[in-house]
Amino acid sequence: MIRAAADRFDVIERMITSLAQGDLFLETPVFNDDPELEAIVLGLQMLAEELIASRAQLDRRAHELERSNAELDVLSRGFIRLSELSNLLLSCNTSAEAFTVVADSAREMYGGLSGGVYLTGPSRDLVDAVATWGDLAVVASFPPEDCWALRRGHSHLARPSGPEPFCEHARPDGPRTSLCIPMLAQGEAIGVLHLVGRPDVAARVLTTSAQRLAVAAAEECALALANVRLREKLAVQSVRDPLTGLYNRRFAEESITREIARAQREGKPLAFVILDLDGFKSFNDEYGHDGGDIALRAASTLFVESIRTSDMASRLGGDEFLLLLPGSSVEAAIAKCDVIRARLRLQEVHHRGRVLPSITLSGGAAGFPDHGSNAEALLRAADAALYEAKRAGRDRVTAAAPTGPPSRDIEFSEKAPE
Amino acid sequence: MTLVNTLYVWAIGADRVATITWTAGAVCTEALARASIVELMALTGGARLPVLADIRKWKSMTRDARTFYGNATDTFSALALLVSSPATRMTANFFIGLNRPNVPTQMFDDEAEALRWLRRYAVA
Repeated sequence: MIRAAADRFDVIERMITSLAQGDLFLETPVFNDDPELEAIVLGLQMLAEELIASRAQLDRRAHELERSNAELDVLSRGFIRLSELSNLLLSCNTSAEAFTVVADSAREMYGGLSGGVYLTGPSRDLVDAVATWGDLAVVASFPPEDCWALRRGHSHLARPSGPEPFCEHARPDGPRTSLCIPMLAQGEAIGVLHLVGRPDVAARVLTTSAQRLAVAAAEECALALANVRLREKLAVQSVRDPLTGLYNRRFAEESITREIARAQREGKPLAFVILDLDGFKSFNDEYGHDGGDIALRAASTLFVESIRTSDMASRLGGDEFLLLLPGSSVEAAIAKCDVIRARLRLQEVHHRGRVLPSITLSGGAAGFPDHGSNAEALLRAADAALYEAKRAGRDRVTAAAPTGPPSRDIEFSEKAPE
Repeated sequence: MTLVNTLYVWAIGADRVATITWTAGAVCTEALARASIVELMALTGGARLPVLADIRKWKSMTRDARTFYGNATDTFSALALLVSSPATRMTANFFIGLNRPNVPTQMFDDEAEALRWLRRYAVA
């Protein structure tokens, strides 16, 4: 009897020892004739079940924690990269620089995915790729309505087996996952960030956190690109004449000094020609200011079309222009101006349904170093030559006198006789 | 009103206390636990009644069933577990201690006493 009781307690002791050693899958002895022992066995069994469940839950949580940590790590590196991107974009002077920075960053942040940054064109009827990366082909441009993200104003993710439709511009030529994120700056969509990849790569790279990061990156890029564009626009506005699109007087003045220094350094000639439309005041009186403006624009277009990219045409004011021709002799400059004059005479300019009368041009040419060694002397010589051209009957370009004092004191704004 | 299957019987008394009596040797699994709650809801029309669970004769209860009942407390207003053997007492203690139902729950070995306690939670 005592022996039997001792055996039963041995069984219970073995169960408890197993639990203590972490062996939770207990063999359950049956003690039908002993309800108290049966209850103890049942209790131990339930305890083991709870421990098994707790252990499984702990394992699950550890796994989730590990995954969260890995994702946090990726996210943290992403935010560091985003911060670097932001700093780089702030330092970009041109859109081209900014596009390169964005493409390089996207390639690094979303390794294995292809994609592009698209910006809305001035006409707003096309979105053009300004930077692309990766080995999968992406289109060069598309209408805004071909992108769900641009139409809906928020991110659009399309997967091969998902319910979301693919954007028309991202129609896959194989199994693909595609993510489009509108680039919003001051509430306006200026373009779209498009990421595309094979489904297995995309599943790995485009986690929920990575998608949120991409949205932040798109916002950052949008603001930076809008700023760069604005800076470029302001830069253009600060050096261009709004009526003709030629460089303005301030830029011309800066350029003259710079070009003289360059010519001096390189030992090359530099020609200046001051041009003036003949009888422009009368022309303005007869055809009005809008007619005059059209004539000025037509002449300006002709100047730009007739000179080299290394040359510079600027509007000094009114109907007076300056051509700066690095590497040109005065003779070559006059020959070029003769061509311009001939083309101007033949040019048909229409205004309010009629052809405006052709307009002629007078000019004075001076050259470095023959007519002076600084801006003031050279311009004075060119202006004196213009005066001579006007006095000699207009419609001609005269070379400055080789030497001798200036014929009059001039400033930029002073006009030669009409 | 009663509902009978081979493993348990539901009955709702005039005092608006619902009683589930588990048959001898029954093992309460999660599936049975779910079915019993669905049937209770059908019987009460969604009203939360106090429940007397007579587990004196059953054999045992699985862990999943315990977990399910522990989370199903929005279907009854109080729970009295009627026990007799050391094994059923152990099960009831485990359920109350581990699953911590968030309605009043007590273990009894006297049916009349259990019913008296439950009637405090009966809706008129």
